[in-house]
Amino acid sequence: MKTKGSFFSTKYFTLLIIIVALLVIFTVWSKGQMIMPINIRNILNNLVLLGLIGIGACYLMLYGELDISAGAIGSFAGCICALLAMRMGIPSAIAAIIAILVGCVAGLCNALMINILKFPPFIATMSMSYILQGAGYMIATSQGISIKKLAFLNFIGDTKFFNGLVPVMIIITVLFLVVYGIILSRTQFGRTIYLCGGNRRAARLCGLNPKKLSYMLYINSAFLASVAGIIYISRVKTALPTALTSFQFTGVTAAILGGVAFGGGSGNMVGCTLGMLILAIFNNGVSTVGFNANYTKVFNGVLLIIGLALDAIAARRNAKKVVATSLASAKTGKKEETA
Amino acid sequence: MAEYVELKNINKAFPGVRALRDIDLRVEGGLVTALIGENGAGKSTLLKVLSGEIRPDTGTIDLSGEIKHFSHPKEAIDAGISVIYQERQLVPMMSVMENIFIDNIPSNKAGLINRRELKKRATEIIETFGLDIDPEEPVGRLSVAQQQMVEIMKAYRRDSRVICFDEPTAPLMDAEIETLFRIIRELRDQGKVVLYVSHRMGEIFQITDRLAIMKDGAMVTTRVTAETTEAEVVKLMVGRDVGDTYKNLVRNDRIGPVLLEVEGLNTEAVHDISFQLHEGEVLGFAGLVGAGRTEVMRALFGDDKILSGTIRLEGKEVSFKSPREAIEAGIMLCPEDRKEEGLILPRSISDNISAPVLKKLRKGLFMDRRSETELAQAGKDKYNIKTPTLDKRTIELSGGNQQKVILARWTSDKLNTRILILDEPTKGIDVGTKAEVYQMVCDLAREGKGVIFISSELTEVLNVADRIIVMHDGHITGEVMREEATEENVLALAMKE
Repeated sequence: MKTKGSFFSTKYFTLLIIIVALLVIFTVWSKGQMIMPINIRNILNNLVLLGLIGIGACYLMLYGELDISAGAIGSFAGCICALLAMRMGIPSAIAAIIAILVGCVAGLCNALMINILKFPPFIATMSMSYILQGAGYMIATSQGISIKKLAFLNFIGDTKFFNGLVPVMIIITVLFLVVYGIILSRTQFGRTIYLCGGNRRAARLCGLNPKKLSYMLYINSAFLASVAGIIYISRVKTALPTALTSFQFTGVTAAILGGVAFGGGSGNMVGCTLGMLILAIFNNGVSTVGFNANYTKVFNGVLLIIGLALDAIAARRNAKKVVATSLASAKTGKKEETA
Repeated sequence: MAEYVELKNINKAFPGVRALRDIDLRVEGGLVTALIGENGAGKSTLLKVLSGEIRPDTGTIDLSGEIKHFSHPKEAIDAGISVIYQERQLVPMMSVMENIFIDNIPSNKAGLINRRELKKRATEIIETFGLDIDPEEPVGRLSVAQQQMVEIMKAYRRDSRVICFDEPTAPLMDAEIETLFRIIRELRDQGKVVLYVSHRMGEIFQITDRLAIMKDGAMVTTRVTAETTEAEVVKLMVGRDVGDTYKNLVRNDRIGPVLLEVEGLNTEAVHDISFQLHEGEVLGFAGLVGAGRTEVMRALFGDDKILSGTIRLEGKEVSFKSPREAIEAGIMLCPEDRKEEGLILPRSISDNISAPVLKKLRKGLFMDRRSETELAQAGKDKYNIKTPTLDKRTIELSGGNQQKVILARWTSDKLNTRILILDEPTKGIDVGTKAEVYQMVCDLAREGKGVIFISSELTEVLNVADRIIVMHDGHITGEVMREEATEENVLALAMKE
């Protein structure tokens, strides 16, 4: 059983320390710019998109698979929404709902490719990603579609509560994080994800349905990405076919940094959220101190490698622990025999 | 100088099991030494330590005076140790000669393969062994026996000082075994260290000079083959008189009406399967590995597609489209492969026990943690699972405790268990726990459940089951009551052509 004192030895504590350290380093390095209100808002804006896509990635990673089309699905949903609202005059709220549904269909197609055609998830979602990017260019061209005077989208993008301090999209994201976190840790559905992620075959023989779950998780990932896409266009006021493509791997990176084991079965939403924070702060910090966007990509790669290395080290340490405990139990077993 | 291998104080632990404990063994050149023991005694692990595939936790290997620590199979090969495994390590598309010289193909200065030289040297080796194999034939087209010979020639070509055979005769026919033995004797007479792992008593006494007997990961003793008897060796291997465990079983003596009736069941793997299972009965399924027993159970459990046939549960016809439906009807399956199909290894004991009954452990929208813990605790108490906490991940448990977790899962009071199918429940479990499992099987029967008990260990099925169904090649070939069953008549049915 967990005790209060053990919090300081958990990985969450390590992650928190990393977050604080990053904040301090970048604040000093950027001579205070890092914690200016406008920059904090940039971090939060980035966190909104990262958070939504990251939740979907976290769920899928716990199940042992991944979806690298999430960014493309989000961008495409944004383009569809802009197309319907700006060019066809459909009310923006309805346009957003249709766009999200279209995104979900893309997720369903991912699941069909993976479960029926038995494509590896990486290949299936990568091809989906190419298709949707191409389709996005056809709809919005590289100029994009600009968004003007749309009631619903303006509400999502511009409304701020508490004296203009907290944008509505932050509230939406936090709500999603909390609800998804509770679903994961407290409900039958959440448990099913862990069990199927831990061993699909055994889970099926326990009467669970991993295939059905796979469909739900890919559709869920696409749903969250589409919501992120809508939020993006409502804030930036332009629907671009490449709006979220840089989020191809960030969800996966955040999940790994937050301690979701590659291959599934262990990890949780708290860790994922901390992983997302690290990524958001890091990306912002790198650009605040003056590196250009190309560097951010290099650093992201490095961060992913670090995350995977930590995962591998943890796995190895775990294996050692397992051996040690079995050695110990074998020894005590021996004592019992002789006694 | 005479060659020898001496293992000193070798220890190796894996998750959940201590595979080798304090092994000390000296094997002399010029003799064939048998390495014998029950399944799971540690023979294969010891071979892997010798071949550099596994790094022992402690201990050294003394190779005719040189102390070795292998961290890679290549190092063991370079030191002159070759292990010939059951699964042959050949490249099927490449020719015999290329396989023999696989890590040392003769080539010219430009780095191109010198085919003429290669063929000449390969032919020499083939002739030394007096074999009729074409050096240019792709290995994939050779018979299993010939492939094994290619492996041996590879070891010979490497000029190995130590050659280990892991169950070499399992896939061979009598005439082929003769050839193999001739070659083994030849290697022996050249003064090489020959280590021979096998289960077959007859051939051990025929080919070996020394016996090294292992049990539960430890070296029991060594014997001169000519000075011992089969009975003594078996007793040393098992470490007890086998009869007692079974004599002390408290069995069920009230067998009830028919619970399950299978008639004319056909799937892609099994054909025309018909049998009945009664309440309170332990029904054994015997047969060789691959006879189709597991496949019958998978079909019963709704996991494999049924092509034709009927299944009646208490007289009512049922057909399950998924394991879920079978579980709801009261049929539970403990699969053969505990780690791949049974347990969800990275999850806790309690998660594993509650997995099939999550729906019943809900309070509104959320999981009810208290009743889940109660359920797991009840399972732990009932089966005496040894663990400090129910949060322990099942990967950290020993084989026996893992099996108990699965039993606890399928017999919890949230499930209406009518029939329990146990597929090789004692595989990889130590002897003491095996006896516990047998008693659990009988207890389940005493509770009025129908138990199907699959095992490839003949003595075990013969002694635990009330009635034994024997399968061969996807068909049922016979049925025997325990009182009439002998190893001979069951084995005859299992090998029926």
